[in-house]
Amino acid sequence: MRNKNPEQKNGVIAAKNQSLHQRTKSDRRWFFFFISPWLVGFVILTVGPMIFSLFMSFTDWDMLTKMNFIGLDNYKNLFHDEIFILALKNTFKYTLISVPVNLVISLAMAYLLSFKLKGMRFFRTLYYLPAIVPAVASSILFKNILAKNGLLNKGLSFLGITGPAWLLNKKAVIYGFVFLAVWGVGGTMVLLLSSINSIGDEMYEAADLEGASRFKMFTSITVPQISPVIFFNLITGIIGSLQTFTQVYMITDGGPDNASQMIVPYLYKNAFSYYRMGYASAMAWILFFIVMILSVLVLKSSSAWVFYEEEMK
Amino acid sequence: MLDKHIPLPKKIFTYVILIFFGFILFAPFLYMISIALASKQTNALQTFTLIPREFNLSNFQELFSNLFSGNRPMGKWFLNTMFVVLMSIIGQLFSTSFVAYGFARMRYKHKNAFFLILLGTMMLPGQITLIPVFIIFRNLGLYNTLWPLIIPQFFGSAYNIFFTRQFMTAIPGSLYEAAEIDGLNNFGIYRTIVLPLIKPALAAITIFTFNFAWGDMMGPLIYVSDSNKFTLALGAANLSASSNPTGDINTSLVMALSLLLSIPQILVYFFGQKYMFQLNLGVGNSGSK
Amino acid sequence: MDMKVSKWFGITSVMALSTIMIAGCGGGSGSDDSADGATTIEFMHWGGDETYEGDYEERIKQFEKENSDIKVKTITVADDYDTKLQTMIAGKEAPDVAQVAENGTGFATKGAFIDLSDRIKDAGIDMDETWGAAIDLYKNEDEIFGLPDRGGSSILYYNKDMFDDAGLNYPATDWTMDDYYKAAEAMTNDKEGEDKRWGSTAGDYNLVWGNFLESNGGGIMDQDGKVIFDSPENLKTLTEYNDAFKKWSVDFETSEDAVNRFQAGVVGMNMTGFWDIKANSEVDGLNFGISTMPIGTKPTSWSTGSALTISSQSSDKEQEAAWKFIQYMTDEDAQQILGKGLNDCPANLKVLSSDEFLNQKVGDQDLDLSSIATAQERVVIDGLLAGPWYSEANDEARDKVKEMLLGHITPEDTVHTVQENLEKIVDKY
Repeated sequence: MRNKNPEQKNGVIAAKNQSLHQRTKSDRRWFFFFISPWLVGFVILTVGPMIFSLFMSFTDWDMLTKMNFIGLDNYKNLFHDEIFILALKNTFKYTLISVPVNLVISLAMAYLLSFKLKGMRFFRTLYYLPAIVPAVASSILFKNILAKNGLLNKGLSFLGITGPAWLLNKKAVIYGFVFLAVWGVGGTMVLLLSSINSIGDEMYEAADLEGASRFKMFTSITVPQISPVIFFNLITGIIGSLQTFTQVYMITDGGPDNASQMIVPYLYKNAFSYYRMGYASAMAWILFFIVMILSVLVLKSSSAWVFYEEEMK
Repeated sequence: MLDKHIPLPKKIFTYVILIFFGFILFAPFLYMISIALASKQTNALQTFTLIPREFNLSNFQELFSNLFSGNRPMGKWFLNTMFVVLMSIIGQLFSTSFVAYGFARMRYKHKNAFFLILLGTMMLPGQITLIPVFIIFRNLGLYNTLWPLIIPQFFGSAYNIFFTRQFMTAIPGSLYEAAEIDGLNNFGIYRTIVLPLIKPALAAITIFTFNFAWGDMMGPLIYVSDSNKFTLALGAANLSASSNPTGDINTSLVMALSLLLSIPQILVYFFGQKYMFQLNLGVGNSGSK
Repeated sequence: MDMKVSKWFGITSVMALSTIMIAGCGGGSGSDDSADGATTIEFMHWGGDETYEGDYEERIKQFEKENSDIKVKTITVADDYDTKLQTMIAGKEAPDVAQVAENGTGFATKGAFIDLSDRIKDAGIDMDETWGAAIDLYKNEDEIFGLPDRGGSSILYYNKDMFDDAGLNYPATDWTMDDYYKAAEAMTNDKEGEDKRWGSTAGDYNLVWGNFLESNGGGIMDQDGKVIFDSPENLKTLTEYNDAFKKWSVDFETSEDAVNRFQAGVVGMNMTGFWDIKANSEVDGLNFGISTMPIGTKPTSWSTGSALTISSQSSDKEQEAAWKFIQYMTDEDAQQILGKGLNDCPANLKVLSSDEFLNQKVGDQDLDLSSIATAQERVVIDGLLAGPWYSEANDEARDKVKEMLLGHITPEDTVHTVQENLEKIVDKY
């Protein structure tokens, strides 16, 4: 294209410009064509309820009687709500600990499971089993496991550690939930493993020829290649942890004395036990903004460490 | 990873670690089995052991006998559940891969804004939109049916769309260019190039959706009132609910029930995992031109 | 520009559409009248299948037999009953008859149920004679929104063998708290493991400590909705209770399954509701008796029953049918069915003191069932239960009492903190 003479160049450029406009139009059409299933669902089932709940947060609705508009009162009251502040702290603490721990452990496990050894199928099933146990069952199980004389403490005693009564100790209870989260790491691991396995051998062969160690290959080849999935686990891990509900609801119900209370169980309680749907909606939206801000931060940082095969604009 | 010959010490070391952590992860499951097999006395005293010492099958017998007693249309529940599960999987497979492709490959000025909206839908707790969504379905005349559980699956789930998109970004651009030269339009590329290459993601979608739909209790609880429209998860909850306010549950029975319920999920994963962990699809091969 | 406008128009119209879908124009589908003139009413309860089969099934069958023009469709809920009920009410699909307990007042103050006072009067029911103080739980200002159906109040279970071993007299209906504490002390031993015995299992269940407070002239809230937690009587009661717990009760760390330890025969006494009688009688080797709660300065019991309500969303025809239904369920014939086999305790006092009920045999046990009637007559409804604040206030009070029993705060702190926090909570309603 470089050696065209000016007239032809202009012609070509003009042609290109015109087709650029058309291309953009057709690009846009294609984009919307493909995302239409989600978009339709979003419009019919999601955006309405979301806006409704935002509106609810400015009212005193109790679901059964008329709504009264009360402006920012809910939000103001939340500032003074000791339990809400405690729930925020607990939720953050839980997220800050369990997400990185989960990420590191699931990556390590995926690495090990990617070895081509006999019996991997068996191990892969074993590691994923916890994700299959229904929430009710795992809650009861862990209630027993985390008891003072439960399995966890029995195991710790082999290491010479006397564990506390996890579910009755205000300081330890969050860590009890971290254990539960780590137990369920199989759920995030499978995607990492799947991603690792889909990397072609050529790149490793090249590195092998240069005499790279297995570990070096892992850090320089595997990790960058699977970074999109790591990124996915990080974001969904943050979103999921901040919204922890079932475990807390079923195991401690926030106890002892709200030491393990988290945002979503607390808002659920407010909505359905205390008849304060408006107040609960305000909590949900505060959570929404927190999650959104954190996610955007992670997203922005991702261009530095997430490696996409093709830079998709 | 590379199928190099792994030295024996390293092999042993790897196995040791795998077994050690495997045991820790499996221990609660073993505990569950042990509780399910416990005798009434042990259940009363709650002195369960990690390794099953008793092999009392009375819970399982009780459950199977309930299968055929008139009040519990378990056959119907099973059919209902299978219906919801199969429809959900179909809906998700179709819509998720479609939408993910849009986000992965289509060019559009505001694509990232839409992607952020997609992520945003995961950020509002479902408990808050429970009632408005219920009202929508009710106004559509779908209260007391299973459709509210199925219809949303045909719109894709943000979680599934997100990770499928991530998998799709690993497909090298060269494959697209080659396809374009061959005259395929975007849909053709999606169908003939992309779909076959993301089989692992599709397998993952299938497994995740199966697990979700199979075990979902909250959905049927809210939308279904007729007991013959229940799913297994909801029917099981009713079976094991206690009749007194102190909530003393029959731990043994609950565990037995949960074990039985999780068997299909284990089977699906066991047989589906080979698709999830397929090796060397050539995706991510920047070397092949 | 054109595109932009039409795009925005598209977006807003679509959002309007979805909002309309919520605001909605559908009529109530609820319960329908079927073609052959029979009215169908929906009845919702909690407790799973076990409860349905034990407490409702037979009565409902009997009712349908006697009323061929009414069909009852039962909705059995295992968990999250309140959530489901609220969703149904908000979505205009409320069941015609709903079971309620302490959660009832919350719904009632928001107009979910109809007032039954006139119907009760017209039917000539003597409320005092039939239900006693139990009906107070289902009153909202001047309205009565529920008929007590399943009753029962807190009772004391005791292990006869352990009492014999300790050389104690069995509890009687005039047993005092002193008697109770003394017996608890006598039956607790210092051993460990399998030989360990406890006198009692009193913990943070409000049925127990709440009753103790009431029985000593105190209480959590009074009938006018005022918080009376911080009082000298309460402080004394809680201090004694706290000491007793630490010395003679199964502590939290050991197990939170108090009832089962009683069944295992290692605990001398247990205070809970009526519902354990049948289960306990099926345990081999457990020789037990029942009596009323220990008396402080006055005899009281803590109510544990539930009632049946009629939805204000139902049509007139449905309400009529629903009234027939709940009247039947709470009347003597049906109540006798309920009490048969001691699956549950009838709320109807006349049935409770009838020979038919009292002379039942429970397994091989020789139980004095008259104490149930006595306990029911002593029921006092603490103000805590009688307001829409119940859920939140109960959570708070119970949390703090548990903290006290765990040794994290003192009884003095407990009474002050609970008083303060409950006042704040009640203010919100």
